[in-house]
Amino acid sequence: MTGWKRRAYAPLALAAMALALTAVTAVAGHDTGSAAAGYAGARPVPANTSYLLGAFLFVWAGLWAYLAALHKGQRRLERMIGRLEEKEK
Amino acid sequence: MNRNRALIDSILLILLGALMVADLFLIFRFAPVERTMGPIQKIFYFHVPSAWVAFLAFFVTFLASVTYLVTKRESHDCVASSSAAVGMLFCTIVLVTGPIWGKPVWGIWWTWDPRLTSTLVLWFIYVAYLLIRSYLPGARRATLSAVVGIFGFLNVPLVYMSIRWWRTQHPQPVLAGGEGSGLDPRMKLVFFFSLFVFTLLYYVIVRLRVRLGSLEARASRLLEERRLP
Repeated sequence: MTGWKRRAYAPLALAAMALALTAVTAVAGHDTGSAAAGYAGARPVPANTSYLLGAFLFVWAGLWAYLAALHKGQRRLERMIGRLEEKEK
Repeated sequence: MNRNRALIDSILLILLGALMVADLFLIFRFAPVERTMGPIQKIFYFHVPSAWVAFLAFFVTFLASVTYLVTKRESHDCVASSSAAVGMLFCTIVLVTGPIWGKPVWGIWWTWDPRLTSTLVLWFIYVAYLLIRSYLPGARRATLSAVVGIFGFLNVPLVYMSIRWWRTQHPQPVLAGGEGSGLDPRMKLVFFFSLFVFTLLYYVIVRLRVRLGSLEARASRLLEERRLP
């Protein structure tokens, strides 16, 4: 696996961790009663919106960083091909 | 040509970054909080567009696989594999965000419901697709993965229709779901905006990956030629 590819997977791992963080923070503060089963009887405590927002922000940042890494890898390959073609001439 | 392409890619990246931030703003500040479920319902704006993108990606893989088998052009194989990898990424997001929503609303993380199970099967099919691509050499890899890409797609209509064909715990469709379905106009606006941002994200990732694939192939050819006497 080339260097740029390894770097591209790192933001994806970050995004996965952010999703795991969402799971913990979104569920914390909820009772286990099913809202669908009887909302009036077991009203769920609202999830922590700022944590939820933070986690989604991390996911977006991770995906965007992945794109940026792909873009950078593309530019590096183009430069490398340019150098190789010049040597051919 | 290359400079123009790089400029378009840079513009797309900046535009996408801005749209992603705007999407978050709309989800958390503009869309109303759902009365029954509370803020956890906002996962809907990530979960459903991710599912849409996964289906779209697998459809593109299906089309590119068919055209690869007919024409044997490497570029079609590259599109198929890039799209499948992106589809897998979004299918994973679907499978992670679903249980995050399910725990507070249903009281359980997972149930062997037809929609959930068929989505998991879909994910495994494309795991197999990517494994084939990692372990098989050359032309055999492209042909076999194209066959898996075609047959794997047959599961997509099954996943989509599962909530209509069987009694499931998964919510019924809120859009085009018949009587009693529907969304608040502000929720609908945010949902369609989210759908657009996710689709653009899919397009940009596939565009960059396909270009990268063709550059890698060109670089390996050049390096191979240099090695030859």
